[in-house]
Amino acid sequence: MSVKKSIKDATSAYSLMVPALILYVTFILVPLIFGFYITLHEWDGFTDMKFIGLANYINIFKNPVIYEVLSHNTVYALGTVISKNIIAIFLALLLNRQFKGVTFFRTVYFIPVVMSFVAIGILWSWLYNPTFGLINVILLKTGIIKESIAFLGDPSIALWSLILVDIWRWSGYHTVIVLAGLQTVPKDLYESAGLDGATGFQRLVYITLPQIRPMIITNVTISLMGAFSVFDLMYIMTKGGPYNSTRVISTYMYDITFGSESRFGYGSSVAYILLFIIIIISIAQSKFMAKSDE
Amino acid sequence: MSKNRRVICLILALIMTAFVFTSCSGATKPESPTEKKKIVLYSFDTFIKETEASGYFKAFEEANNCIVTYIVQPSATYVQAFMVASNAGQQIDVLCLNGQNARSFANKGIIVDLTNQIKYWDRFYENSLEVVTFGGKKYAVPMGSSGTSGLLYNKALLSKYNLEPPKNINDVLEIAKKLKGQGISAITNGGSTIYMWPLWYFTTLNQTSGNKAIERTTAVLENKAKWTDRDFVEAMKALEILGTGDNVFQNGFNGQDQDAGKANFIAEKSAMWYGLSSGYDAFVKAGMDSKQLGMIQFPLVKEGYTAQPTGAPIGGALALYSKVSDANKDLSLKLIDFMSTDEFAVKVTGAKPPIYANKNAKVEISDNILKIMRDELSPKTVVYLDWLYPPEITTALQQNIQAVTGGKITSEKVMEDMQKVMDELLAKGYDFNATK
Repeated sequence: MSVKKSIKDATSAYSLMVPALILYVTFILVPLIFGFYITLHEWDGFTDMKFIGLANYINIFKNPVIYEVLSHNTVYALGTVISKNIIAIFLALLLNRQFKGVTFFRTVYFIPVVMSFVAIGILWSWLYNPTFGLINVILLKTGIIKESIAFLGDPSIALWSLILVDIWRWSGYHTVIVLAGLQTVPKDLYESAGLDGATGFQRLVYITLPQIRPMIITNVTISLMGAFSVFDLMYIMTKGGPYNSTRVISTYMYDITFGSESRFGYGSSVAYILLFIIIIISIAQSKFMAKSDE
Repeated sequence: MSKNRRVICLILALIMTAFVFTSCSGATKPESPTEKKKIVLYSFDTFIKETEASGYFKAFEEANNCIVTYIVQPSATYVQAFMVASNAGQQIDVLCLNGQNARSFANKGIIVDLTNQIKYWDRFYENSLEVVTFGGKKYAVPMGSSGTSGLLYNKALLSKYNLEPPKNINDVLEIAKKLKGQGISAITNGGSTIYMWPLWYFTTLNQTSGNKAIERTTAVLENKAKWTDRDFVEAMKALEILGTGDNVFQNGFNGQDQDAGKANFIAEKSAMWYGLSSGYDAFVKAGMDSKQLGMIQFPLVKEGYTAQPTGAPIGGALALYSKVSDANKDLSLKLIDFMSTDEFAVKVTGAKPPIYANKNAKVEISDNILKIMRDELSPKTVVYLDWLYPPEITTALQQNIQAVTGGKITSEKVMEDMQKVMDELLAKGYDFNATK
């Protein structure tokens, strides 16, 4: 009787999973496998596919461009991950108090997260404009600079200009994650520390940060993944320019696949290299989390 | 969970899954004999807005008892959108292509040879037909209006500082020098719109090649000349001089798009703008008075050269998709005929710009800039050279021009890089004259 019941329960459970499984297989697994199949071919999207084995992957690693774009992603990662996480912790600490208007501030910091990336790209393109942009106008009028800055036109600072936009956009998101973590920290830990004479800084370093470590690891992982898969800002604001100084792996993959060259096989191979990088980041995160739990 | 709830949940989940799959359906179902025939026109974003399409095709639909489905894609993403639609098995009958894509589509067998299927080739100018002819066969029908290019200048702004429109590049450098203290650049350009840079190169090459740009370009693509030859290098050098010249372009020009570039001209932060005739409309809409503006050809690279504008002899290329069904073929050819008439050309493009691929399409214009484009510049216009290039050369040229105007690389190095790209293509078997 109990065996029959458990078989019945299991059948019910699996049958309820079937629709999600069908969607997963159709829209995730099959494209993943077919995508890898494409990487083994030379294909322009129209004519017949020509099998070339691993030649695409070999050519990618022989091409200096891949190292150039990955270096841009690395710089992007360093700039955004560190800054966003520090800002997130700082803002979360500020917002983890009850004061008049706290809800308003929490909302305001989150607004950029829900804005469309197209709107953000166009907004910041105009803010950065050397002739009409608000940033240059303010800096010139206050005498901080004598000549307008080409934020998106100077290849030595274009990538950092985009990093700033990314930080502006996503800090609110990471703040919310840290804030959620802060609100789970037991208050009696602070009370005990207070009784023992701990300073505010000591409470931060020895209680708060260790308690929110899983949130910090999550934030670092998400922002790291985001830094390696970033596409929208570059596509809208600079298209990888000027002089390829903001070209990252996603824009490179997009241009090579859908641009005038139409190299689907090669472009798909770049996508799989990016997938591999993201998998490594995920594995590292799992290991850190497991260590943190211990 | 009760049995009934389980069953209800399962049914709902299956229904939702079915909805998802239904919405993803792409392949066309066979029509019933009583339904009106549907013709799908897949177009780049030329003159006809999607919201206005029904007005343009109504007469054709009524005369042929059919429905014309007009699908438009932005020019920059047309090829990939078409690839997706094509691979999904969506119905496509007629293509309206950007002339730049016509050659590669013909080479790939995506569009068919129309030479013997069209009887009205005499409707069009010879230079319009040349750009749709590959290997001696005509693969598309010219449509709409053609374009040219010119240097638009603000008469009032130049005369305010006692300046004359430039005759040569040295004049441009002088103008830049004199305007520097006023916070005005000589020329404006949206350099981040990378695919517009080759326009400048084609214009300078028209001069440095002795007005044989097409012949020289064909020669280099046939491996009978080199990208490092004098005329190609000199044409790039001219852009290097302009790009690195002090105050020639506005600060940070390679970080601004075409709209930002035009905004500079409208706001009188730049005295001149160089671009396509189709770009002029933005200034009209911004309220600039054409009497305050003037247009001339691109300045001379060197004395003794003859300027020639670059442009497109056609607005679009109407082609028959190679996978069109036999049932739709005749109707598709009729649609191509309908869209390439003189009346349609004038209706679709109006007076902006007023230059047509059709010999007998005429319209009255009063704007003096449009008159200059039609009467002085258009007759001399040479087709965009990247309509001849393989995509790899186009990409390399776009990126390199941006770099050379920004002073990041020399013109000599650019042309060496271009030759390297060419050598790689030739090693892979590239043949300029190959068509299907």
